[in-house]
Order: sequence, then C-alpha cells, then structure tokens
Amino acid sequence: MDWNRAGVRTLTQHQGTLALDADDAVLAAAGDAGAFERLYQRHVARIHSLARRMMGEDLANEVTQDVFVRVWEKLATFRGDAAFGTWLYRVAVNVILGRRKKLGIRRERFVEGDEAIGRLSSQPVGSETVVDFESAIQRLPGGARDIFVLHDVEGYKHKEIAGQLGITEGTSKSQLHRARMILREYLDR
Amino acid sequence: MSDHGWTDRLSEYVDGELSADERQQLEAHLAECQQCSAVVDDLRRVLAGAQALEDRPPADDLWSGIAERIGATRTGAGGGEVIDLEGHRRARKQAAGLRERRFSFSLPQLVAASLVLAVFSGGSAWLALRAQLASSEGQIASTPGMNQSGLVSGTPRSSFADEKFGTAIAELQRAMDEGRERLAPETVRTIEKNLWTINRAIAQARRALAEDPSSDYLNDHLAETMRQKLEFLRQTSALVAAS
Repeated sequence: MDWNRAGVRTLTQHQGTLALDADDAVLAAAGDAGAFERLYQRHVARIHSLARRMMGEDLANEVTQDVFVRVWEKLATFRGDAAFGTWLYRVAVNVILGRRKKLGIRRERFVEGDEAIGRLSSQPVGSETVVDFESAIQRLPGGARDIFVLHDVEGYKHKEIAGQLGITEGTSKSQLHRARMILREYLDR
Repeated sequence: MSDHGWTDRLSEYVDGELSADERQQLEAHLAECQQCSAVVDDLRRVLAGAQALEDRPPADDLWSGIAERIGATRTGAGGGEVIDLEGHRRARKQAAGLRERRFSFSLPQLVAASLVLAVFSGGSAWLALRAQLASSEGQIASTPGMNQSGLVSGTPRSSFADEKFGTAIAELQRAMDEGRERLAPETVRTIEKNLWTINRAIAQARRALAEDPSSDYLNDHLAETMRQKLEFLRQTSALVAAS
C-alpha cells in the first residue's frame, strides 16, 4: 500500500536502515536518548523540509523541535506495525496542523482567485529552479499550500487530506487544482 | 459540459481520478483543444517538480534544544545513554499541580504476587514469600540497585516481593534466552520489543515509586506490570519449548 511518500521512501530504503530504525525506536522507547538522537539524525531533513514547506522558514526550526519532542513523548504508542519513518511523519503532520491552529493561522478558507506569486524571479536555471519552486510553494495561500504539500510533495490521498484538515474531498481536489494552476503560472515565466 | 468546462477537472485527469466515461470525453476534447492540452502538460510539470523536491536538513543544530526539552544529556560520539524520563515527567506533573499520596504495597497485592509465583515457579518461591508475608507489615522499603539488567542504573527496588518476582523472571528469561535461536528472527524481534516495552513500564513505575512510595496508582501499576511480564515470559518459554 503506497499511501504516502514517507512510507514509500522508507520501504525503498536498504533493509539495514529499516532495521536500524526499528531497533533504535525500541531503545528510545525504553529511555535511550542516544538511540533517539540517531533517529533524529536520520529523519530531521525530511521533517524539517515538511515544516518549512507548511509553516515557512521562520517557524520551521521551532516546529521541527516540537515534532521530535512529541515523538519522544509518544514513543510508547509506536507499535511497529508501520515503518518508524511512516509513523514519525504522521505525528509530524498532526503537530504541524495543530500548531497552525494554535497560532490562529487560518487555512485560508480556500480563497478564490490567484494570489501572491508576484515577487518570484523569472524562470531560473539549474539548482536555482528548486529553490524558487520551494519559494513559490511557500507563497501559496495557506489552505492550498497545505493541500499541495500533502498531496503532491508528500503523496497523501485526498481522502486522507480531507480527514486531517476537516474538509471535503471535493474541496481538497479543487484547492489542489488551484495551487497547481498558480504554480503553473510560475513555471511559465 | 462546455468545451472549457473541463478546465477545473484537469488535475483530476492528471491524477487518474476521473471515471472511465469522463476520461474518454476529456481525452476526446484534449485531442482538439491545444489550450487544455497545454494546461495538462503544465500540471504534470508542476506535479513532477513537487515530487522532485529534495529534503534538506536545517542549517542550525536543533538537537540541543530537543535534548534539553526531553531531559536528555548529550551523548558522546556513537554512544547511547539511558536517561531518566521520570525527572522530566515528574517536573511536568508538579507543574500541573498533581498531588501524590503516600501508600505502600497492600497485603492483598503481595498475596496476589505470591500466587502468581506459585504457578510459575513450582511453589518453592511461593513458600518463601509466604513466610516473609507472615512476618511483614506489608510495607516496602526502597533499596537502591538495578534489577532490570541493561535498562536503568540506580533504579530503586521496592521490596522482598520485588526480589521474588525478579527471581522468577530471571529463571524464565534464562529459559527463553537458551532457546531463542530456535525461533524465527522476526519472532525474536517481536519478543524483544515487547519485553522492552514492559521493562520500560516497570522501570518508570519503580523510579516514580522511589519518589513517592505510597502512591496507590504506582503500586498497583508496578504489581500489574510485573505480573504481565511473568505471564509474557511464561508464554514465551512455552513457545520456545514447543519449537
């Protein structure tokens, strides 16, 4: 079952890495901070990238720390029925969405109309493309950004996104399309 | 649907979410509409761009802040250090204003423990425990030391009942260890994982009891968790014996 990118990536990792995660998760659950740090080092890039894309650069560090502290607190609930990376990622998304709610960041109630790509540079070349594309994503309206990141970047399905965000699948689909159309304008420049 | 009425559904087409009939109709339209075809191509490029994004770690060291918040000490290179979770959790409990009562292991709890030992150890440990029960007041004195090997250092023991549990547990653990090579690796992993979970619960209950030995909940929790460990080891030993 390929329900998200975290799961896919984890499943395609070398078996040794999966075993390392599983062993370190058990040790960390028993209180081993060294094991938890190893898990952190293996997964921080992915979690921080998610936080950055959904919360912006300013909050990414703080949110990443929140995620790992929450993971530490919830380790006892990790049953090993999914890969650790998959479970970690699920916790991260919940923390991020909760944090947005707490900060009172509206999920843009899915505004109509294009917004705010305005200051993007003209179409870049090579590695600059990736950086600007990331910048473009962060400039999307909040709700559309969440859906775009969860669906296109992280591989969630609309049903899962709708459940997490408390919206209908129809809204999820329409906002994804809106986000893509905005980013398409960027690609055309 | 008008020709460009498909515009809002082009993403669904790219994602394979249209019904067969809808897909057929749209593809017929795309064959004749360059504008919509161009949009479909762009949508696919956007999706490809999203899927090609690389993850990158934070520029700053975030581990120090995490370690501080979870109450961990910094480990050396390649080292793993067992930490006391209870210090962190106790601080949180105190902040929330929880009060802990003073209590001790009740006589019924000790009797229950002795019955368990009778079942698992063939009676000799039970007889010794019964003798001690007869001369005890049901109070538990904490003594320092480590019981659960490899888990936490400096964890206080609770009582002579704890020591009897430990003996029965050690015997079963030995039986399991001797026969584990007969089990599938996956089974061994599952067993070890479950044991870690149980050992963690026992260790945490002991640490908390060391601070407040009269807590009703903690005493009950420790006794129940140790009974669970005995039962688990009994079942595992039976599995080993049958393999």
